[in-house]
Amino acid sequence: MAEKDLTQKKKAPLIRISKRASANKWQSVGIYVGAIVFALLIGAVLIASVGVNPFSFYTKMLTIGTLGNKFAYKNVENLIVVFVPLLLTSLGLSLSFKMRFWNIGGEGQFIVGAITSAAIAIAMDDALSPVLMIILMALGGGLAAGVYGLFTAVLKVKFGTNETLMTLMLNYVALYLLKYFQTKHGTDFFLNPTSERPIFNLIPENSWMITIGIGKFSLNISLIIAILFTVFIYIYLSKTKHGYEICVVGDSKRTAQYAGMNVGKVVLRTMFFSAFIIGMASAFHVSTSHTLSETITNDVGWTGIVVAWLARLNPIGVFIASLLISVLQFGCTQACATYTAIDSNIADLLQGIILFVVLACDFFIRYKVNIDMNYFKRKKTPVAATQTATAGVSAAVEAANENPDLSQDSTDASSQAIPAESADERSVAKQDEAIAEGPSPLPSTEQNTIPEAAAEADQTAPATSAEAEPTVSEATYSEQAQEPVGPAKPRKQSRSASATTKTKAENKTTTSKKTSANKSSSTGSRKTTTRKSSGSNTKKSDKEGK
Amino acid sequence: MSEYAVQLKNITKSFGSVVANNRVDLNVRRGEILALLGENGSGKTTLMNMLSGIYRPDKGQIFIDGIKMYIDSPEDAKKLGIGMIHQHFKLIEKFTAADNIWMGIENEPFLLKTKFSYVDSLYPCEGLDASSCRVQRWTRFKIKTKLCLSALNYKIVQFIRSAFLNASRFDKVNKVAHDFGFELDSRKRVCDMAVSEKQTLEIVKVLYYGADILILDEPTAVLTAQETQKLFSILRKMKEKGCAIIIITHKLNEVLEISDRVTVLRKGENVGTIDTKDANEQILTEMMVGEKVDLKIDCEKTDFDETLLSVRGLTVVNSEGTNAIEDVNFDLRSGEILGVAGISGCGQKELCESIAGLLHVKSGEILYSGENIAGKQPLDIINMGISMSFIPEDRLGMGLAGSMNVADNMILKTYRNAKGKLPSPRLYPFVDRKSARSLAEKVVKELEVSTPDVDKTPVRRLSGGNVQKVLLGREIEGNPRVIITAYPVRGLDINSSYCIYDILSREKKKGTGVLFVGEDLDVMLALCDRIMVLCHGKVMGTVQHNQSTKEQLGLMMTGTPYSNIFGNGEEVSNG
Repeated sequence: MAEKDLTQKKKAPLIRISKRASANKWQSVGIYVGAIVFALLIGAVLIASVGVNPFSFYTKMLTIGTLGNKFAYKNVENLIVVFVPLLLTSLGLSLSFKMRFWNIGGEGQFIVGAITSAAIAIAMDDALSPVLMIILMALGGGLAAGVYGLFTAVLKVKFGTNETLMTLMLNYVALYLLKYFQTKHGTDFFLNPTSERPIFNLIPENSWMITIGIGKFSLNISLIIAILFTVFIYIYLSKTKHGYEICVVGDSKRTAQYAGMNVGKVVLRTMFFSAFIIGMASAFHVSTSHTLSETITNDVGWTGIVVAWLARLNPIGVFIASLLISVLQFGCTQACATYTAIDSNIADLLQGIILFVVLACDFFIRYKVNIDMNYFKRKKTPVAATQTATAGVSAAVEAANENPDLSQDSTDASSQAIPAESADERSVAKQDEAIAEGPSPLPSTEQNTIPEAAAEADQTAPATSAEAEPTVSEATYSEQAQEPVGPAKPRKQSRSASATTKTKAENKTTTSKKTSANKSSSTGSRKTTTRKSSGSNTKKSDKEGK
Repeated sequence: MSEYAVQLKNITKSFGSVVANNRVDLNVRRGEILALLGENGSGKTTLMNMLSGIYRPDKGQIFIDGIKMYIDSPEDAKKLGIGMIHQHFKLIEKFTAADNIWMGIENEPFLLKTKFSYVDSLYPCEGLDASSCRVQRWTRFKIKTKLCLSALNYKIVQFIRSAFLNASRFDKVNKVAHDFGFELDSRKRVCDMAVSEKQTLEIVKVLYYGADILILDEPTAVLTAQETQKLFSILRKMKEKGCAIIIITHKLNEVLEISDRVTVLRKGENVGTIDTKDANEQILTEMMVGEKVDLKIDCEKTDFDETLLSVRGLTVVNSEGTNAIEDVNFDLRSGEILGVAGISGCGQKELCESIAGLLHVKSGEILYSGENIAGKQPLDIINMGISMSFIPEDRLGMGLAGSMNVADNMILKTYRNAKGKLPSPRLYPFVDRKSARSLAEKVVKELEVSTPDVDKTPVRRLSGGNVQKVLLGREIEGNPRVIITAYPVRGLDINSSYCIYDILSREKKKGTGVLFVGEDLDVMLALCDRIMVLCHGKVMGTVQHNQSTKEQLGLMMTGTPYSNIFGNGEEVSNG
């Protein structure tokens, strides 16, 4: 049976976390913006540590190198080349994430779409006009990626396969398929006929992305398509019946079933659509960059997940977040060209820091952390208690000296480990100091419980049964006379006793009180034998078992 | 120092903007049973959770036997002798009874630091001269090393020992249970136990850990009348042994039967404490609700005679492969409320789900206006006018989408009918949110749902009772012909509960057939025209309105067939 350990937790906890009443929307936005600024500050420290002026670095980064650049328009064009696939991929991923279908296969779907659209481009050669070619490539790439994603969805719907693992693994299948095509082992359909080593060929001119020239700046029309898609997805998710179904299925499949929806159909449809968009993104990208390559994805499948998360799956948020991340990535490559001390991987570093800080912000938005400064204030101990306590500990110390049974432990660092000892010995010791103390200004409880404990130890049946009333008040205790038992033993004052005496004294007194109160229960008698501490539980139960 | 085993002073706890407990005082003496009474949502469970270490109060103090304590975790509470028996048992189904208790037996902690500080205290250096100090230090070092080695040795032995479960635990648990006067088979697996046995196990568990302050959270919710009496006799025995017992309940008759004092909570505040001998139902209700409440349920017989639903030989298999319901026959007429009583898990959930098309029917037929709907798709069944609203224990589970707002939840079953200006709904891709909003506002006004708005707050942020009102309101708006409702007032306060009973009576008068699965037998006896009792998936019998007692129903719920109780002559016809 466990014993009451009332020594613990006399202090309020240092840190307490409580839920915050919901912050309003503008507050949350402000916090996120603050988070990003904070992340950039951390980055600034890192940049400064290498000797580069962070302010100029950031300026260069955030303006993507357009300031003072004669060919600024080229930078913007290149930014768009990075931005569009990321935007479209993130949109596609957010669609499936909204349904809580964790499509981690953005990379694989992108690659499959890229391979298919390149294949279409090379197969059709120059047969059709550029407009038609682009449409065909987009459709082809989208369909191929859609089927690739649908594969996992079908397995999930039919067999409940874990879609996270499945889509993740299919990424590598697609990647190695791409790498395979860049070898001479199979087909050289994709390969450059004039080169010795196998490298990817350029796709025919008609398949190159259409650009609209505005002065020297050529606007990639895939940007316009991407923006249109953002609006389309926003309307799709928030206003249509399909979007409603996606929300409900994402919330709870049971509810969707209960409402009469065909959950399987919704999952398949949405997953197909999600992968279709990604495939389309890859088709545009292949068309823009005029060739396939092993690094065609530019990690957009992974970054897209980050963007979708940062944006909370909201299409408008996705636009903003993907713009931010693209500027970060592209800007860093530009800034790193100027400041060669810094490697271009700083983009990933900053991205990671931003992610961490935003995550932490999320926590602080939802929960409030209360720090209790009282924790550090020392507790004042009442005088009387100290006296008894001192006495108590010295008694214990003596007992310890006689009986070094080292099998006791205590988790409470502030209390000292005292070996288990027989009741007689300890209560004898207690009485000693009670007597030796003489008349001291103890509060009635503490004084009276000590002789009461002595009475217990003597196991005088009538006395103990008299105390057996559970609702005994202090008055009863005082009826017990102080019984002188045994000679007083010399006391040793221990240095650190005072700090911990209080706890132990209360420990003892309350043990005794407890034990008396529980006298009536048959297991009560067992309680008197061991000292209260967390370790005593097992010790006793082990003892019982042996 | 203190006459009170437990004293709570000025306890305040908020969750975000919701104040669950506001400056609550409470005290319990040893050898006393205190009933903590209050409606659902009044903060009783939160208060007791703070006492048992699950939450920490924002403000206020807790005194155990007069000493101020900070209970930071259930472990602390356990060490203080506070044992809580929760409403939802914290048991591992696969384990035996003894294993469940054994889980909580502590092993030795690993810190050696405290041993060293003890040695340091034994041999202090101050006040002594240099030479003796040196001696002291050497002795200290010797002892420390000895301590370390022996402690390590002990720890290794302990570790090895603890790696093998103590085989005598079964006997130990049996003995302790017997000493306390319980009958407990410590080798029985929890999944094989009946609910009252599980509750006994929970009680023995806290007693084994040395609890003498017991807190029981709605213990009779899952018990039949006979089991409740057995529980009460156990509590009286514990009270004689000197335990302080707090029983959380919202049932007035139990409060008056078992408790010595009553503390009433209302909306998070302590309204007052009175001795039970001075209390009666009226006083207590008034304290709970704050005003005089007329607790009357009317049940008039209607004239409709059509049989809406006719279930024959229905057998349904649950997810574990056993027959959840077996060969069930009953009829549901229009204009009547048919109650379904049974202990939890006897098949009510599967019955409701199979009629709604959510569960596969193994055999049998469900005739709705002559047509067999067993096996049809949920959508078709919804379109036929059969509405089911099932409030599971976690309330949000099935009927509502928690992350969507009230308006969106209103159209959960009807969103696909929006057709705008086009001829057919199939062509119209958009959701009609305007009508959803107006419907939501109508329900919110009629049923007095308290929500900040209908189109921005996710439903899971509303308090439990409001969630259920939204659910029921939606079901009724569809003007169904059959309403299947399970535990519609679970967790609701008195006013809302009676509001819902009124709604169901109103529907009944319109000619709707209501299948009412509930847990409160008093209410069901007053409200339902007939009550069908299920036990382990079989129908034990059907009784007529107000022609049976709770005890008789309790016997049927635990397996005594109708004929054994009432004799052969009086059985109410099922068909």
